[in-house]
Amino acid sequence: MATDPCEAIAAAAVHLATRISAGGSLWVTAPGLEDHARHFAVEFVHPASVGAAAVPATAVTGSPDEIFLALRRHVRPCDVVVSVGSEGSGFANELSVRSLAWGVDHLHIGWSRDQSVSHLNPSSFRIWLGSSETAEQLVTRTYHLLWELTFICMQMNRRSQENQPSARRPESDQLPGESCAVCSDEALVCEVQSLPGESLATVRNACGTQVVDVSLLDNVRAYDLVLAHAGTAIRRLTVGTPS
Amino acid sequence: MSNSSFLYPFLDDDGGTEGAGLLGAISQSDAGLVELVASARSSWLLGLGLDCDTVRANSDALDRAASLLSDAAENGRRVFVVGNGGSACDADRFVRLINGLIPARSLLDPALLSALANDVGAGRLFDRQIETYVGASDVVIAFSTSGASANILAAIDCAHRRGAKTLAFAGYGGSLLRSNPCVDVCLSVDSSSVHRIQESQGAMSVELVRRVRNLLEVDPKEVAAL
Repeated sequence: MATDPCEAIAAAAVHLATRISAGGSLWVTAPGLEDHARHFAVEFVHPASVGAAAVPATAVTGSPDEIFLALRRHVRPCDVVVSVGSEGSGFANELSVRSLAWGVDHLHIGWSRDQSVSHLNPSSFRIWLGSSETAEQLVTRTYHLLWELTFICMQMNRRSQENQPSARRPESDQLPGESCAVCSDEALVCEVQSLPGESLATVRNACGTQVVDVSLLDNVRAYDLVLAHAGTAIRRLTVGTPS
Repeated sequence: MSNSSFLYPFLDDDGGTEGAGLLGAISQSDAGLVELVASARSSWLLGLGLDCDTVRANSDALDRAASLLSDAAENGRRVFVVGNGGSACDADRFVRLINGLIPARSLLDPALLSALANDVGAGRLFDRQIETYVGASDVVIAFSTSGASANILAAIDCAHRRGAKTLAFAGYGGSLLRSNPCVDVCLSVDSSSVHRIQESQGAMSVELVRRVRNLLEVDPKEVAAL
């Protein structure tokens, strides 16, 4: 049966429109397929449709480590990081976890051996194009449609706001602020930024930065991903090539 | 109707649904999302159909293009690709697909492009580079959705004058590149949607590389007969 990613594209478009309308940017990555990352960004910044608004989308290229370094510096809450490619490379899986620590959303467009098995974090949006690299042929159509639908949603969103000037985004969609309810009592995915003292690490998570106790873990280094609960790193997260 | 109506036939048709529009409808029920999915599926299937029709309609031209490229590969020639915007990325993609069969590169270095755009003009982005890099019997491949970009026409003209072979991917039925005497082979897409044109040019790129590979590879039966 032919692959039909249209439901996933529509769901992703609704979400992208919400994020873009709230001031978010798109960061597009495709290690080994950089032409797709650049084309995706071109579609959103310089749309084919005359008069359509430009959306801040940027292709981030280089090695996976260089991409993570650039994203770590540039992404802000409300942004969306996008990856294009095979889930088997491990890059998309790592990005899906790091995006949690950075407090941004992740959308993956690509292929894997089995549609029913995903190594992405469940919070990532996933547009699955097939089980082999021939799915690469469908990537361009996917981001074209993604732009077309996102544009439609943004148009409708704007009309809706014009007609309902008092309308506000739902509470759950607010940016993490000073009193982040999420942090208080839940284990959060964190990325280690630095190690200011013995058994202490400054980490980044969806609510900002905080210092946590890392004495339960051995050899914690910068950029490690850890799960922290009540100010303590309780587990190291390993991400990479799925088995 | 807006300028984008050809891409979004229902954009101007919100039917005054309480002024809430599609996204409002999506937040209130699944109806808006269903409509969005239906729109995506319609375009998806239209695109797949256009891909097939385009490859079929260009089959002879694809054979000629494949011969041109395999001859160039066997004679140690090189391939240079050009394009603007999304087509520049599609040109880069073609380089990614064909490299390994024939040395190919794009004339799309951002520093050079900005230098030429600033000092000479956007219309001369490619022909100036072709004068510098391309030799007789090399191959220049142009990707253009409109088939009418001034710098692409200048690139093709310049390449032809230098004795290079020229291959053009062009939308709008081939537009100005189709009957251009400087174009050796034109692969045309019979559509006026920029997105669908680019996608079908991508499908032809894959098919072209497949045919070049077939021409360059030794037939397994010949190996067995030795």
